[in-house]
Amino acid sequence: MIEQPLPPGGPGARMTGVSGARSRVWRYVGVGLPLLGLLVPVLLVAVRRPAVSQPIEFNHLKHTKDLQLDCQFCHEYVTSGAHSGLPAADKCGICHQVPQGESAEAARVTELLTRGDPLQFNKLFRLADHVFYTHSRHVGIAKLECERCHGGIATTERPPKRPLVTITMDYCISCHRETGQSVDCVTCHR
Amino acid sequence: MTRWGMVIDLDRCTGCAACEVACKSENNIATVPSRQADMGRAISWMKVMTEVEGEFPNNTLQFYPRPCMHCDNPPCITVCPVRATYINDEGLVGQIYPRCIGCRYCANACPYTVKYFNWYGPEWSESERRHLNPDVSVRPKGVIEKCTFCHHRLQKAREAARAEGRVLREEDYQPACAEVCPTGAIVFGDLDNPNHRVAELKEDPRAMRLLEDLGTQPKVYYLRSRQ
Amino acid sequence: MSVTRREFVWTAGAAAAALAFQRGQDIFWTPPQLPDAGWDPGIESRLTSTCLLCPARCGLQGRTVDGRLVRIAGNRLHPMSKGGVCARGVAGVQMLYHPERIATPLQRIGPRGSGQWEAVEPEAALTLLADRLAALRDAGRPEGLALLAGYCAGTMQDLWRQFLATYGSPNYIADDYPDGTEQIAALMHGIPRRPAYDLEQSDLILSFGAPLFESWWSPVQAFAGFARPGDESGERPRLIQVDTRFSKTAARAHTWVGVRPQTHAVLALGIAYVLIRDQLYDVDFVARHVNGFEDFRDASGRLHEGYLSRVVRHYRPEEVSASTGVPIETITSLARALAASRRSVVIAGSDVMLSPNGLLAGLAVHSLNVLMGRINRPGGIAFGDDPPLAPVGPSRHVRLPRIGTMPPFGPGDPALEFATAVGRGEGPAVEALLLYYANPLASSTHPERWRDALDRIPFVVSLSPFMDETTQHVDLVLPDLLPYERWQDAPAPASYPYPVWGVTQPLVEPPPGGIHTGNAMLAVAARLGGAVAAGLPYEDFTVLLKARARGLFEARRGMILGDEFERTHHRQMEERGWWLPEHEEFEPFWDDLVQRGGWTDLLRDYTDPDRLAQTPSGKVELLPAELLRALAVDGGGRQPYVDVAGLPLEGDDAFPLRLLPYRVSTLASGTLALEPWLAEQPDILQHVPWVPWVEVHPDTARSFGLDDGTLVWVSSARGRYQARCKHYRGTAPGHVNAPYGLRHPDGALASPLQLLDGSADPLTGLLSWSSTFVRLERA
Repeated sequence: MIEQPLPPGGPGARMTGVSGARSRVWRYVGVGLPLLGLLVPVLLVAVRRPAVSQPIEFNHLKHTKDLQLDCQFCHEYVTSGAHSGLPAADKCGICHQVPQGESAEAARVTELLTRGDPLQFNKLFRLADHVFYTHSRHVGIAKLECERCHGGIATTERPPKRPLVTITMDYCISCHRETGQSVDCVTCHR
Repeated sequence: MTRWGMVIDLDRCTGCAACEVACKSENNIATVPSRQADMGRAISWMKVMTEVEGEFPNNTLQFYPRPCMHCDNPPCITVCPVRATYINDEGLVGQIYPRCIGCRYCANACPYTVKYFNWYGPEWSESERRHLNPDVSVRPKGVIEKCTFCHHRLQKAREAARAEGRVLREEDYQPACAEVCPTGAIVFGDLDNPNHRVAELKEDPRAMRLLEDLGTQPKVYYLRSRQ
Repeated sequence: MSVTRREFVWTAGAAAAALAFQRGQDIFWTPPQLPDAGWDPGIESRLTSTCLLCPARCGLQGRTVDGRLVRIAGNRLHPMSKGGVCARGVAGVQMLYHPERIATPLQRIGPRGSGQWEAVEPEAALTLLADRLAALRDAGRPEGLALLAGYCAGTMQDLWRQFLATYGSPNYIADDYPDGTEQIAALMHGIPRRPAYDLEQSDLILSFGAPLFESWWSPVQAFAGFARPGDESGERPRLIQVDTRFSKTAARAHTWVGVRPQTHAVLALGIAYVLIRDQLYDVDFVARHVNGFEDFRDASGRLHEGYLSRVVRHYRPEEVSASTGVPIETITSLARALAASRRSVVIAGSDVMLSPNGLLAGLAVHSLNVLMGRINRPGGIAFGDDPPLAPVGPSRHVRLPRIGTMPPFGPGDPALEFATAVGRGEGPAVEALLLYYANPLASSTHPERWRDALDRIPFVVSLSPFMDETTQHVDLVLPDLLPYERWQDAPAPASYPYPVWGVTQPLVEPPPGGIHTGNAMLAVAARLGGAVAAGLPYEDFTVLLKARARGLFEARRGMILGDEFERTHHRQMEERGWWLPEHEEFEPFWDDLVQRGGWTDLLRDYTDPDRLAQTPSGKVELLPAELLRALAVDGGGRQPYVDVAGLPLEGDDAFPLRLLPYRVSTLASGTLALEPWLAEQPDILQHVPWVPWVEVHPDTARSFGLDDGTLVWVSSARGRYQARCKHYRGTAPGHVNAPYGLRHPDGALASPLQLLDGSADPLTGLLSWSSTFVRLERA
């Protein structure tokens, strides 16, 4: 039989190699778990989704309140598509081809359009990839208000860096329960 | 109570395998490398099973198109440690990929071998990704997948019916295999709805189910060939 | 519990690493939702179109999401396919989005075959082609232009013919699927057209080696005829398959009869013997409409033995049984089944025709239809007609002969004849060759002759959207758009008894820089000017299609595709002499036609004598004078209804096994195995993913020491290729069934046709597919 090297540690170490290794594993776990408990929140904050920035400091309030534009004017597929759609440069160009208002941003839009540069807004609200969600289902058929999931985005004056509402599965399920909708797993996950 | 089920008329099946490919196209099923396919790791939710018997020139053969049986008493769900596979109120046996931990207990428990394990992540080139169906996920490496009776179509059909203010009709919800079958061998509908063709066909004297004695109560019926 | 510093650092590090790794997986483990939806709204549409992947031309419905084609299903309004599609049709999405597709024109910059290409602008490519053709024509050598065209029935074929005719070249070289049945119809009925089979109304389908469910003219037509989808009455035909292997069709047939290779026609005449002996044939039909049944004297007064005497003298069931291997009881029961049925149809498949006595064998098999009076009857043989399209332009004939010789009654292999002549420097020099859906270096039985021919042609253009074997050796690639991106028309194949004009419309946008070959040739015609431009005065291909559809609009017959009810209604109206226009104006007619997928006319006149025979006598000729004359001159003593079997061949020690190639349903001849879904499961009887295989009886294989799944060399005196040896009890011992059209994962072709010994039927020029012997050796 091969001589086992003595396990490190005190008196308890006078055991066979196997159970010695096991006690060592337990010790690592015993240290690791509380440590993990400390690290997780710290790291979660650190690795949170990066802030979303937009090419234009778009003023939602100006367009929705002052100009009384309907959400669907820019988000044209909100009742018919999976995604609501974001306006491209040509949509902005309907008005901004010529200078509008006095804000510096509005002037920048016109300048961008005159140069013919593309205008690509970035997605702010995101669902996990394994959730099958469509706007047509929730807005087109169920007639949900935009605020239910997007909060006060329509009244912001500059683009928020992070979503105004955190959508969790719990949030979805509670609404589905309230309204008597299916909470079958395959409804959203497939 | 709605119980979705299928009746496959073996007398009409010609083994053309259009159902297999339609299923792969509808459900984003990826191919596996050739060596892996040799080891039986190719995925085919719908598979035409064949067995040639006898010697030339007295051979006989039967085609059995085999989807998931969506058993009323599914042996796969009792072994799943994380409830990734379960049976819903309408009798559909679901497989929830984000929950699946890839233990493959269900694949071993299934007597019909309809459950497939993803030994590989799917490989689609940039251009191939364009033909993927946005209604169905692409499964990652390490999960089990299987036939869903195309339940994403049920949801869409319900929505369409609701938008048009009418009840769901039989033809609104058909899985891809039934839709494409050139001989009409695959019939799909609600087994408990007397207006659906499957309700009548399952009472046909030719009707039978696979491995019935196991007590799994499959919801896929076969009509024996007349020959 | 005490913790050392080292333990602490290790554990903390591991925990951090684990989390960092998780971060790499995007915090949560998620299945990738594809394609990354981004802001694509997911707007769906469904468009009808017609499949162009094989001659069947089934109706399609494509589902697109945000302009991507994600699904192909069937068009329920199409009268032939009735909403069905085959596996290959469904897999078309993988062809459309194939990563190796060529989207824009390429010009060769290195030596031929070096694979060095330069992308050129479409306009520049068209100019290059037009200049070359203009120079050739202006030099007075228009016959130096040749086109090698794959199967392209419809307006593309008419456009090519018109282009060549107005240009002045006779060289339209067809490289499609000749099967010789056209020649049988021409000889016996005086109708030079492939016979159609009214399977939808048959009650008995007796197929002699026709791969109905695999690679027939239209498997979907066969499916619909066999299973009558939607018809719950249970009235369905009996299918009897006579075959040399347990094919998929044989497996599904109600009765399967295994025969020895090249003896199908012997069995057919054995059946005829019983029918005649027991007076089970249609005596009335034969007496009124058939010539050559009894002994007769020809114009010169020579006495000829008639069909009756020939059959009775040579085809006693004992003899037939001995040569075919079919038991006497089976022969009798087949005859009784034919006699008992009221709507039978007998089909001669390619196994019958592709044999050393193919034409005579085909006549013998078809004679059963004549004997039973099944010509132009519901459920029997029909001679269809073409949709009444407006002509592409005024017809014009080139007086010069086409390059390559032509056998007395046959299509032969025009492509191979052409290559042989060019390779030997016979005939006019070919200075420009266009390849349209043709890949002869892969599909030909003699690729080496094509290599020689290509070496002698200074300018070769390929219109293929994929870099196939032949395209690698051309000077200019002007890739066509893929079938789901272009306008085209798609007439139903000749096997379908009614005229159907399917329309293929684009389901998705073509890639930037892609050119439809139809548009390319119209543009080249315009640049060439003169007769060519005058013969093809169309802006683009869509304008041409619409111009042709005016013929349908003005024909005052037929209907735009409709459902079962509309079809029946229309047919019943037409039978009573009524026809009401659905549209007053052409534009709405065209829009409706495109939206529903095409036009058809389901009226059939069963009393029209011209659909029975157009011979000088007005009768069906069992022993056509033309054929007897040809045989008397150069027939080697062969006689119709006597010499119908192949040669009694045996293997030798070097090549002991008989090779029987067959087409796999899902793959066309010689094209790339483009669709991974199909490559993974090319056939459901043999589980051989990705790798080409051959089927051998287990006892035969073991006698050569070959296990199931062994990689082998299949060698004949002419060449060899690698395949996997599959044990299969449906193969006759001593034979090798070799699927044709497969490729190895690295793209290497596995073509049993390149092993064929070259023996052919001298009358039709069609190669015999079943006369070659091979050996198998472990690779």
